[in-house]
Amino acid sequence: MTTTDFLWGVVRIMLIFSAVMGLVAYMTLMERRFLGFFQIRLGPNRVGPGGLLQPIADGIKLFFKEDMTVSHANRFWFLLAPAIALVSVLACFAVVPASSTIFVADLPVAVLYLLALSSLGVYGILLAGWSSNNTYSLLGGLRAAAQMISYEIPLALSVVGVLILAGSMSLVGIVKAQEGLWFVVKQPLGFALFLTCISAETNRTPFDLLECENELVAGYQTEYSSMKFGLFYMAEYAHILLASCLVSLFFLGGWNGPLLPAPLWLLVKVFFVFALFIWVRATFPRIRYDQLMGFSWKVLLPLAFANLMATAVLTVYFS
Amino acid sequence: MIETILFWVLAAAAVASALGVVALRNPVGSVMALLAAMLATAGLYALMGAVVPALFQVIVYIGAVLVLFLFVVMLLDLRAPAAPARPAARAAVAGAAGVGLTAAAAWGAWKSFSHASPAGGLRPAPGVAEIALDLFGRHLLVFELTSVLLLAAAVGAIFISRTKKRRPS
Repeated sequence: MTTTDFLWGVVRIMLIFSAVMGLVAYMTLMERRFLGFFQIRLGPNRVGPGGLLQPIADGIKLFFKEDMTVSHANRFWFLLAPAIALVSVLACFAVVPASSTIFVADLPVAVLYLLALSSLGVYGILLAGWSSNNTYSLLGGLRAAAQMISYEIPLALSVVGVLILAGSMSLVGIVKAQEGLWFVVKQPLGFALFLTCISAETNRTPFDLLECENELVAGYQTEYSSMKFGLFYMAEYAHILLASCLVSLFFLGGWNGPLLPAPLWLLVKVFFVFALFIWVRATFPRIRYDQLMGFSWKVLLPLAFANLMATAVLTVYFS
Repeated sequence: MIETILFWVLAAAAVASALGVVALRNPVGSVMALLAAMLATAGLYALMGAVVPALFQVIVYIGAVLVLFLFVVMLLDLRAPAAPARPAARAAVAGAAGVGLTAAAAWGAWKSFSHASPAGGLRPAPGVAEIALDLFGRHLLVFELTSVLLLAAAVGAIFISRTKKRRPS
């Protein structure tokens, strides 16, 4: 590896990192404005034109809040938890391509890399819940662990259908296999399963039992303040951005589309998927914990297996 | 050059965190040290070019097994135990056994060094396709038998942990 290669790699990492952080900031604004519209109110629109400077104001506010570490916390793990949560999500973006040429790395085993890295995120939440030394936080952390493990299995199985059709584990390869026809047409059940499981993985309503303000007073986040809370918040939105990107790349043809440049097409699709997530959040009530577990193991898992079998059999039959 | 540095960093991290698993008083600390050891080992696999085993190490051990460990430790709310009073005789026996085991392991490692060859000279590490073909071709029977064993274990666990139905009185 020459020095130029190395520097070019660093530049690409910085570019993708800035794009992700910028999107994350404005996704918080988009979610708040859209939720406002869904509830027939305006939402934040005072800071800057149409509220466009609101994320900057939020950032400044979080920085200047008092940074507290409760005296009964296990200090080391308490500080480490938000860092684990954010790093594990940001590292995933290393293999997420914005077009056939814009990416940090195009691994031949990118899907396995994503599964491996995203499984680290649960440690941030578990440690946060435990190290806060607070019953509500611990309950939130334990719920998160059980939920994320349960939904990871149907999530991975629903991706396997896509892998069979694409014949590749690289995200660039998967998108290239969708030139002409999006996988959502061939994998409608896989698409629905993936969408459901990934919104459970990102812990969004109706699956947000781990923060659940009315019974767990925000769960694992309760004792966190200032930028330590800010890191969790960023991790959450980065996770949702990752989820929207993956839905677009796996099922909606990624950057394929006429006229517009490739990254813009991906951005448009990510926008619509995220809007769908907001719509779901504004519409559905939170489900009960036993329903949540039963739904994963008794409904999603058998459906994911059926989808996988059907895809495999049909692919062999038609080849 | 960079590989050598990475190797020593990862190897040192693996040994240090493995010691941490035993030495740390707090059970959560032990589990997290085990996590660090697993990550360092995965890094060593990746360094040898075996990317697929490295990723499966993270997915299976860190993504599933260790979460379960941490879950149970937190659920039981284990505290760091107070140092128990150890009878001198028992401590001596345990110490001797520990030294003996370490010596045996070191001797084994030393013997295998003599006919070790550098990993770079071997054929390239297999990718997903090669591993899958091997697993579902040559080793299909063993693979299926293992899954039957796991199924039996799962059924057994459900049977043991099921709640007894209350009879209407």
